[in-house]
Amino acid sequence: MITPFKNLNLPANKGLLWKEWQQNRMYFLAAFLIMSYDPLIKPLGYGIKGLIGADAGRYTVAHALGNISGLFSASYHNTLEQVGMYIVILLGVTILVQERSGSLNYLVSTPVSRTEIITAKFLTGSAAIMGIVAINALFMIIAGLLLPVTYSTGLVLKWAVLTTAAFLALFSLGLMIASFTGHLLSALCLAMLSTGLPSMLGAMIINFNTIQIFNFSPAFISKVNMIIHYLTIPAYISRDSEYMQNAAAAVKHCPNYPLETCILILLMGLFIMLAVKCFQNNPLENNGQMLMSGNATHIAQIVLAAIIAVGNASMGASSIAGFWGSMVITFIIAYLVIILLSALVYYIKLGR
Amino acid sequence: MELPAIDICELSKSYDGIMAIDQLSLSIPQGSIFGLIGPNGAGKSTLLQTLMGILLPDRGDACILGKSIQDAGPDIRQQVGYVPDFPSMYPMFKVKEMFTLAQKLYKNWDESKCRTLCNYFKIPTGKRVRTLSRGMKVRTALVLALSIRPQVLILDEPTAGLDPVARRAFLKAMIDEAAEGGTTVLYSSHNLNDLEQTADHIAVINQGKLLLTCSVDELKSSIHKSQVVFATDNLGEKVIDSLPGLIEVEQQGKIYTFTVSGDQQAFRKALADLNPAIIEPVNLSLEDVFITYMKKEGYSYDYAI
Repeated sequence: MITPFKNLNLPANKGLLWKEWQQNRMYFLAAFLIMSYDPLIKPLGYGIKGLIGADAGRYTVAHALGNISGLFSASYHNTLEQVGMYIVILLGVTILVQERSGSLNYLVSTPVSRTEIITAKFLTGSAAIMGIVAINALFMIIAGLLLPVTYSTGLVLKWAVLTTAAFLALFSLGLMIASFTGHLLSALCLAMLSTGLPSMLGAMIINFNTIQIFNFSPAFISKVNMIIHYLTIPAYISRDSEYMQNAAAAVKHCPNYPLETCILILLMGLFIMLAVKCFQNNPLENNGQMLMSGNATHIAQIVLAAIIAVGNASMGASSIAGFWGSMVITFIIAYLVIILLSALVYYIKLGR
Repeated sequence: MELPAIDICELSKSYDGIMAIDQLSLSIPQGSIFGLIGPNGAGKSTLLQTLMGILLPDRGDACILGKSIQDAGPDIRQQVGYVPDFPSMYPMFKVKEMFTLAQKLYKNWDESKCRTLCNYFKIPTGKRVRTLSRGMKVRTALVLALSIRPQVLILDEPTAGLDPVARRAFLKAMIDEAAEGGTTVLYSSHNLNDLEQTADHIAVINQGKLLLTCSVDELKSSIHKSQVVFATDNLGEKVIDSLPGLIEVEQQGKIYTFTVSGDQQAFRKALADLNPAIIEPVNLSLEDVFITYMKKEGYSYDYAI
């Protein structure tokens, strides 16, 4: 019997973990600084300025407190969640793609398996992400204990667990896509497309019904909505933020924290298993340049353009004629943009 | 019978439909210094990278120290040192950090040997890898490869970027390793003078296929060159073509230079029948032999203005 995921015990190699930390610590530090700007650095800065008395009217302890509380009660957009979800995808992609400039050849010639290589990358990146969220959550809890805030410690803990799970799922998705694509830009584009694909497909199906290309039953639409609800990873973060900012009144919209966390962990597990499998079977000789060279290039360009065109037309069109018209125009524009991007990538690659 | 250090069996590897290695089988005895030669694009680097697990073979398998590269890759690589043609390593790491990484990955890492070799090759351990010249990177890669106390050493055109002094030092370190540690060395090179001095066996590959494998002496004795002076400067094409084993003939007046392969006795006998005035054997280097051999196989450049 063929077991597709045999030998997937994800062994941790201490040497590789050390290497990953040495290699990526600056990326992790940059990610921490950017993601923590709103929830940690800005309030801290305001608080310190208030304490030392600089521009006392503006930078006061009370002002700092307002900013910390505002993270949950008023401020919907914050760097930890809204910027953070793109940063973790970028981290997932970068942590593997950066090795394609030659160091991967060194690494695979050492006494480590490909499973160990990708496991070390996953563990190091995951630890960094967990650390970033944990530091922010800890700051929020301490601030909440010292200052009057509108959130509870329990709420912060639930938020931290769900946000970490969502970030880890996005990080694993980036890692999985980087395991079979060879260039940062191609991997990043595909990862971004993948995160938005479920919601795009869902909107497409619903709009098909609206403009009567197909007549789906309400039960079917409801099921589609439910599936999309659980497959769109960034939505877990957005929904959570929406809930958080209306924490007092939004009991009806309260996320099912245990269920959503479990689904995200399952998605993360699936992505990391696929990443290991793809990386084990990646021949590496073409540098994994999917979408970049060979016969697959044109097929991939056309398929990508078609997905974007169908998605855009399906979501925006209000009639069948509008659907076809929009699809053709979007396809031409998307195809040209993809060709231009591919040429740009080649140029950058050759330049390097 | 002693197990071969490397046993390649029907190994094939293709890129975009082009066969880089075509059902290649080769056995490399333990303790030997084995040279791999062939023209550019012959498949040498592909073969070595496949042995190291960098590339995955399409078909066939290879065993290093009795273990399959597909089943026991990491275990095997504990005992295999590798120096690629363009050592990349980690550009942002300092050289000493590369050594620390290797120390953590290899069970048999020999720190004192590493220090000795660093002194020998004058490696600047405090510098970042990206600031090193190609030659210095090659030396660093050799230090990494030798410090793991390898049983097998695989080198892919290692001396290409080295100055003559460094090249001599590199070859000495390699020979010492083979002599003292019993290490098997498999190395590809276009510098056939180096191979002639160091290798005891060689394999010639072209277009992914193994053309021949033998000892260096056997290869050198398979092709001979003789300068012959005749009384006439016009032997006639038919007469020349009838000489057995003739690969190439050059003429300058009454002086003919014959390059022949195969049975020397038959050639000498046929030559004697033509009443030569003088026969002078010409010493052939391994490079001469290789060029002649490849010409025989149809690989040559005819340059004319």
